Amino acid sequence: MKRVLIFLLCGAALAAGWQAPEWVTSALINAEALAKYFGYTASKNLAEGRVEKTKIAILGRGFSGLIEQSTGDKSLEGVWYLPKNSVFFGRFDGLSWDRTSDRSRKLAQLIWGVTGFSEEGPEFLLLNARGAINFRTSVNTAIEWGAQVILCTESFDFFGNMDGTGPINQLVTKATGRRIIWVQSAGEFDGLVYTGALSFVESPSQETWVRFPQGYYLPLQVDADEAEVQITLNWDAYSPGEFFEGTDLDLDLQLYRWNGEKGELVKESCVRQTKNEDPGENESNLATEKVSVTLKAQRDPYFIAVKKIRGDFGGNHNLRVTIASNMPPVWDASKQASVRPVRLLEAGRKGNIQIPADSPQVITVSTDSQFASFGPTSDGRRKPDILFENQAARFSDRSTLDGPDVAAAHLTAWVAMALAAEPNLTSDGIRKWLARLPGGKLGQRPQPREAGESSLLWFTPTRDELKALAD
Amino acid sequence: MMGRFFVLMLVSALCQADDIPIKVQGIEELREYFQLKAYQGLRNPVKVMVLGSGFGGVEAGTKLLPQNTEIIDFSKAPRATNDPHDLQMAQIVWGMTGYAEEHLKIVLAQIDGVDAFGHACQAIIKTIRPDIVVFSNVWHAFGNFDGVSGPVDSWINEVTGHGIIWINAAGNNGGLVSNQKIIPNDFPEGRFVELPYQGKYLRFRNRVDDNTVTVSVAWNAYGSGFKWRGTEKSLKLSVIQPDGKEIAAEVKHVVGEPKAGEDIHPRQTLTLPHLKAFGGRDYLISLQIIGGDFNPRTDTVRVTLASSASADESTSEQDIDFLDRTEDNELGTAAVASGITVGDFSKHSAKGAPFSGKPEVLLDRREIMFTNLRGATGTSFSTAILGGIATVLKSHNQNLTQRDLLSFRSSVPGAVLADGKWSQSKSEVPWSVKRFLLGRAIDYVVYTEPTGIPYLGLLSPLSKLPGFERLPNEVKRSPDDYRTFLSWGPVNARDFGVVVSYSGLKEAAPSGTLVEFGALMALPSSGARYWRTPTEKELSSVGAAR
Repeated sequence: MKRVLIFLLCGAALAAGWQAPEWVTSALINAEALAKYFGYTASKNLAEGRVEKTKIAILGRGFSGLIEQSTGDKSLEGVWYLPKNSVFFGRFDGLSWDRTSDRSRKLAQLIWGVTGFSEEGPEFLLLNARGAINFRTSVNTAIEWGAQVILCTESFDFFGNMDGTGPINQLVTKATGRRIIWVQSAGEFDGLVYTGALSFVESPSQETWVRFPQGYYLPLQVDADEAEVQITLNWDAYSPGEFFEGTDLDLDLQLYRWNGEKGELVKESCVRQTKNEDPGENESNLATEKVSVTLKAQRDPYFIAVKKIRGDFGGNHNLRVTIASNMPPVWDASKQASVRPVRLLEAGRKGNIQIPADSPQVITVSTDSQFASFGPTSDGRRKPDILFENQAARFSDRSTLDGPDVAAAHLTAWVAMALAAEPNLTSDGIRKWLARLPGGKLGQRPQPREAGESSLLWFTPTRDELKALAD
Repeated sequence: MMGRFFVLMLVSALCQADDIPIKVQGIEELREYFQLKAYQGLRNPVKVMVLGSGFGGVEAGTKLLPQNTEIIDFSKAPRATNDPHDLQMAQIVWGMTGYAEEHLKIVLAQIDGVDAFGHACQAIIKTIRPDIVVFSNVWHAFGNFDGVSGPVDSWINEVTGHGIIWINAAGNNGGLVSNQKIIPNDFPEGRFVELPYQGKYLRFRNRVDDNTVTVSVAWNAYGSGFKWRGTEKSLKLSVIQPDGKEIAAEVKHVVGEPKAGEDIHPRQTLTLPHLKAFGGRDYLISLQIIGGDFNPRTDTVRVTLASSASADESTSEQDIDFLDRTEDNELGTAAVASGITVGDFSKHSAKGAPFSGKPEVLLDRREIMFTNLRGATGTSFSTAILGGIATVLKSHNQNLTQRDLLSFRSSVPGAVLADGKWSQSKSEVPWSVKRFLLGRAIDYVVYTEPTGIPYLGLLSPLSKLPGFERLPNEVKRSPDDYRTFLSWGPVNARDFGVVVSYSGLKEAAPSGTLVEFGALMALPSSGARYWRTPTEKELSSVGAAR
């Protein structure tokens, strides 16, 4: 009888734990279902009354609806999405945040909901990390603020060596060196990235070109008119250490179109790479080239070519080509699947993990969704560190989010609760736990399957297991 | 008048169809669907004006429209816009001609409000003289809802009176309008318009958190003619949230030059951002009479809601539920005037007043996709499709009038006419159904299988009914769509359709009885409002006597 009573009391306490306060403008509506799916109810009980003190920094770019700390916005008075002690910094020296998106704000809402909607917290610091300059400022701000967890959804297609080193990952190392647990979304770059070992081939005109699987060229398919496409070439010539040195290993990027008889140059990027700290006009000390172009749909693919200009590329080098476009995936009824209207035909289904998700210091999270990114990194490490089922977050404004960003927020919510219960828990402790889980062992895309009632990839540690991990 | 305005630019150099950077996807299939294949190219010159405020993206050299396209800016304060809505309409018109270059002249007329609209109409009559005007704007105010008085509708009537074909969108206010007589009702806190809830309120429910809802109120206080004279009849609009918070619009209405906080137009608008659902509790709208003598016999007020959210795709639950909406008379100013008003089969497509015959045309294709993978939907794009069809027909018969166009309508939807598109799959008509239908004057019957595949059968005459024919999925997807599809127009005793659920059929068919038709619904059909493009022979016979 006593047991039944305790059980009923516990049940009542749990049922009451996922209701957003009345004053919230919109909120996560499937918090309880998500928490049960991932087995977070026990974690929530362990953290009860303490998760409010956990300090979480969100590094992203879409914060629509939040009032900027530095400027204020009277039109948003009385509009609340997060605990009232949350702070948002949007204006740094770099790019402005994306005012058309509320994605990063909603990830914070997800964490708040899954951890129980306490009016006191967790404490959120939301930071515009768009672009390298803001990313650096955001990391430093999070460190100064005393963040215990960073959730980062920003990814870079350059500024790194694809092996976890380079200037962006230096900043990650700085944060994790201060015992901050860094949870990183793997992103959704499937179909957009080619990564390969750098080798060259000489053309009959004695120019030196990068060799791709099909020869001189990497085919780019465009199925939409007026597609704004950015092509980024990146190679591993960044200084791996703390100091940035620049490079004189010089490659150029070109885009061609087949006119029925021969290739026509559409656009090229011919920046001269230099080790100079202060590069001159049309020079750069970054190992990257970028082309931005508006393209028309074509039956035949466009072709990306990379030309060697100068430098000793001896030893093993890797390069990466990444596509970004304004064309989101569309539903193709004939294939019964979503397809990207702009895609690289030679993009591998793995090896497309971006920076800083490739860092050994971060906990990289991905999902079993169609476009989610997967490793390995260029130095052969398995990524992601944990794979979740793609469980969508649903909000009362009728929006739905899913994919690796959401999975990273799910993990962040658990980390916040685990830290509340065991403040000594570290990234290493969490990694030990992940290594035991089915989702921590995969490192590759699983076969799609029907969603069950609870996760098959993730299990929550018991109180004793959590204590052991923290010890 | 034209002196005030100037031709901004000639758009683009000579271009071939392959050079067009953005086209309508599947335009040939669309032309075939509307039986335009017989009309290759344009035979005689035709000038089409697309009137609107969203021509973003039209720049010199973009080749989005024919080489000789003109833009004329009638705006009070010309400014750049990114909105491509009306440019897309012009692209659809062009696409429906098969991207004809020869004989086609498109004029884009930019306006930024009703004053510019008046100037544009003057220019249409005096100098531009287009054959066809295509217009997608529908205003909640600026008219008396009667299509006759008020400057906007008067201008359209003047244009059509000059023999120019005017094609106007019905607008997407379906289910979001309440029309009420202005009967004063005294309360301790003041004099209010008598409304259905507690004598003082209209109710709506917001189903979505963080929604932006706009409440627009207009009343019929315009005089006749083309001038804005103003009114002293004034209403204050208030919205009371479920938590008791009240928000009000208190613009004062005047005759003559308005000062700050005053308006000559009989209207009030409240835009309510970040609105909460409050668990589906009611929001209340009240209208307080703050000036002027309203006549309860003749004065009416219209409240229109708009929302930034959309229906829930999984449950079909609407974003806002206007509990005290009225059932018809939803067409806004411009759509009620003497042009051809075009609607579609969605529940958002606005309905006309009973016996008004509006919208005159309903198109059953409403989704347009462009080759840049941007989609467009709503009555504007149905209007553009009909604008393109009218352009082709006018070019092939220059005697064609607006009245002639209306004579081509049919009482069956376009899908039925797209011969061969959906005739491969037939379902045996159960005897029980035939028996039920015998003796009833029914044009067609629609039912869906458990798989959701819709079938449509023509029942005229019933003895020749071959079977139910499968409809293309893109036309209709659910029984709900059919209910909307069949719910158009005034009920005509000799002209109605039935929706039958498959479960009912299955139970009924073996025994040959119809007792168990649980989901049988008798609904009014559309009458002759569906578009049917005439054959060349039919077209050539039009207007010959004139």
